[in-house]
Amino acid sequence: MNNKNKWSRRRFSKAVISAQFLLASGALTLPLACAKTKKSESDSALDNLQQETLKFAMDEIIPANEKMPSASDVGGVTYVLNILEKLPDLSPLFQSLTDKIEVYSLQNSNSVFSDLNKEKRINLLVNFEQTEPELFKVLKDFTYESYYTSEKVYELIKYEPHPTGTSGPKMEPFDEKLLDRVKNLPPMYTKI
Amino acid sequence: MKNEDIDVLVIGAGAAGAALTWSLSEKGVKVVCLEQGGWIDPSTLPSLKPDYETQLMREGDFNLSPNLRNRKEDYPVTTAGENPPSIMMFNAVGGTTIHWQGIFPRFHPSDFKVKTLDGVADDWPISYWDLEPYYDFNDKMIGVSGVAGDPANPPRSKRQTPPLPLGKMGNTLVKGFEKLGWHWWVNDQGIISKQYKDRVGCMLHGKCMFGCPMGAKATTDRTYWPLALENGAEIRTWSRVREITVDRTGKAKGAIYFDKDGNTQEIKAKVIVVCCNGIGTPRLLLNSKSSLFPDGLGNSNGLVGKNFMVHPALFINGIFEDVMDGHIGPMGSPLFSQEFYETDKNRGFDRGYMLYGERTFGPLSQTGGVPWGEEHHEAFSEIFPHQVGLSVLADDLPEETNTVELDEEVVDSNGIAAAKATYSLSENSKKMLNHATNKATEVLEASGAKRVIVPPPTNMSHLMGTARMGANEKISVVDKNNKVHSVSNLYVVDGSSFTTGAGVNPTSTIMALALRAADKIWEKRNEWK
Repeated sequence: MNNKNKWSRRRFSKAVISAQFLLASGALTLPLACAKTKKSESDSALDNLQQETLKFAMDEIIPANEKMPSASDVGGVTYVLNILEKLPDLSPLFQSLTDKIEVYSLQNSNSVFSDLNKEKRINLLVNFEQTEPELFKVLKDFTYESYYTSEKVYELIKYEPHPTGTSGPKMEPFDEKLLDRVKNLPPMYTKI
Repeated sequence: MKNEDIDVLVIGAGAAGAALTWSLSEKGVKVVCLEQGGWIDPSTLPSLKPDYETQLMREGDFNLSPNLRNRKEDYPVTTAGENPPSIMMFNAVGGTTIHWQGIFPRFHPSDFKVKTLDGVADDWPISYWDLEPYYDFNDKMIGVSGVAGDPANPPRSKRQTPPLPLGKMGNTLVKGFEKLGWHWWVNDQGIISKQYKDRVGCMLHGKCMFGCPMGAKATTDRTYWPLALENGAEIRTWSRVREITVDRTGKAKGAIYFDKDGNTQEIKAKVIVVCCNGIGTPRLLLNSKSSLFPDGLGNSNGLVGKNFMVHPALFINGIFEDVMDGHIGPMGSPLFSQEFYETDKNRGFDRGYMLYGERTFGPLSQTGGVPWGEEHHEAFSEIFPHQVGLSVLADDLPEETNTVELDEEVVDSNGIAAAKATYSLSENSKKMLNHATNKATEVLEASGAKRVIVPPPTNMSHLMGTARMGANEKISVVDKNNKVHSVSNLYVVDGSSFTTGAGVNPTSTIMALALRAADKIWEKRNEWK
């Protein structure tokens, strides 16, 4: 929490009362932290080539198949750009990631990463994972994060996040008959 | 409240600080609590957002680890040892209850007498029966969901609200336990299933570790604190204590703290109570050096920070063909088994462990072992939504080599030395975890799992033992009433006062100890000066 916005006890009490009412009614749903908006190169932390590299790399981490889209199909690159806008300290990390992938690509194939065929892209990333494990982890973790916070993916994997403020899931109440056998066990704890 | 009027100064506004402050304020005691964090705005809680899981994956305001949050009020905790502990805590009004799961079991009577019964560690100087009325009272104060009548535990009063739903994952585990004829029971939880007092019942959204804006989870900012403040207690937020001061006779005099603007303030009181958790408490005591206490306050025998316990743990998962709902519904635990809780020497280790069904977070947190590339979707679809979690919480016995010390090379935002936590699994714990791995696998397979995933051991981040309770001053820091042996008006009331860790989650015991300590402090009021 930003210390500039310090909460007093009085503000807390008011918020609790109103929040309980709103949440119980299911009327309040807050938007996603990272709104998905299109970024132009001029206001992006990554230039066009870097974005292209990131897109192709993310799509090898999570490729499309007959049922599921690829990472970039669900806005993976835009997701990263939005994060970099919120957390600019991460920009050098992603610039280094994409630039190093290009260096590897040029050294090994004398070609930009996006022009490699699929097999060569995968081989490069396998090698990259071994030689640059920390940078590779950044690529993998943020690809997974962008994918598995995507509403499109939620629909496809039938995940309903039930954020607090919406109506919760329906679950059957506990059936106490299930405990009939255990209830009749003798005391199991050491009496002392 | 004017500084000269203060009877009791409480440091830390979490589970213990809240219960103790309320209890003393009910008796008319003038209490001020210093809390290094603030009130948490419920609208900022990540559980309100579909992407709450990002808080698990990287730095953020609500990451479970203070080392991965960017809050000024947190302090760094460095780690070491063969099994460096994962650290979870929260610094705010409500303390770690803000992001706890709400699992609310009690110690067993045997947990207080492990030396007598099993010849290991030490006995507590109090018994289960000394705490039992406080356990019960605390349950009534905050509201607990569950069912009384568990044969693995002594009788307890009717739970305030019915159990939370088991869901398909819970019912699946029930089949396994029933097939094996093992003990199981629904967990007591500090999450109300129906309206209780002025709080609404759980609507089953889950994500409880990322805050409960509903107030169904018993965070102390919603339970004890409003009542304590009504009684006239005062809480000073954004107030980080640098050290506890002492007078020439060795009595605690007060504290020096940084206020919200970073200015140094001094506060005096007749009694001081430290409630800063099993890491924060030894850190503060060790930082409170003086000519009378050159090694830190209460540390004349060198035991402050020793015997750190965290509860060794395994987060085991079964993979099922059927679609499961382990990621839906209130977190914490729908059910548990204490089939292997009490000592059986034939198993090759002392004490025991609890198995408990554990709900998971959403899809992102289940990608940990999922490969990237062409196999990704197939591997992911095998585990989601098909996982059922069965966690192991093992009894933790004290080892002097497991410690919390000061890390002079790292400081917090006020320049105070950080804490360094060192932990290695004991041979007893390793044997216990091996046994638990086999038994958890057995019950998951009996439940129908087609595959069982056993990750490496970790810990529950329950912070205990670093200012341990004991009758003998040579081998403990506080006495049976939570008073520091060597300082007549200084108390430590939190997980650090645990003599042993038991094999259950600690919060109900921390709160019961706090209510009891408040009574003991009150009984000594004629000695306050």
